[in-house]
Amino acid sequence: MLDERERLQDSLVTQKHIAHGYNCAAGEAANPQLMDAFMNILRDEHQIQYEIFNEMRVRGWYQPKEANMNDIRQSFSKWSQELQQVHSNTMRAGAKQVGAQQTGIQSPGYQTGIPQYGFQTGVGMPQQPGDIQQQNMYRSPQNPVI
Amino acid sequence: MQLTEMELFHVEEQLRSEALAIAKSLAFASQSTDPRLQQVYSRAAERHRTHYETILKNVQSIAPQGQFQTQY
Repeated sequence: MLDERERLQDSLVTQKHIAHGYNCAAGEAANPQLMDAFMNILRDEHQIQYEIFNEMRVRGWYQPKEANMNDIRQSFSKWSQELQQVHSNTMRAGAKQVGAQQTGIQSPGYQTGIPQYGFQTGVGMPQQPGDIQQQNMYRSPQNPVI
Repeated sequence: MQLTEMELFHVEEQLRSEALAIAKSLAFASQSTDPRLQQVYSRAAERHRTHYETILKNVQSIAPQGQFQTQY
């Protein structure tokens, strides 16, 4: 027969296995009701696991080593900077995109004085998104809007 | 609505695990000499039984089995 410590260890292993099973099951559920059920049970399994873990800990059978305080500090500052960098990179990429859109709208033709086709001839290429919209909205007298 | 093959696979897998967990928790509750642990084990057995029933009920409501009946 197992002793007290082995029973707790076996229970902990069982809980890990079951929780893993529910995690996979929730991830692969197609039915929302079933997925919900798996997630709720998953939570309860973790609570059982925590209880068992706690019983082991108060008996001194499970003593997770504490992390070095300096390691925590270093890790925290490293990952805080990482987040700032990701954030600023994202902002830069966003600014570039907006800039490209703006130059697209203000076509250089206007600024350099190159003649624009369109209004004078009536058959010009659309230069701006607005022009396309105008063309789409235009209806010939043969097909009037009623 | 029907169950997918994947869902049925997980349902069976989890029912098997829960059944084993119920049996083991009950055995541990009777083997243990620590009243506190006895309680932990019998509570765990009860919760695993609830999980088992919950899964069965969900299967029944998603893909109704007319003749199915739970017996304890």
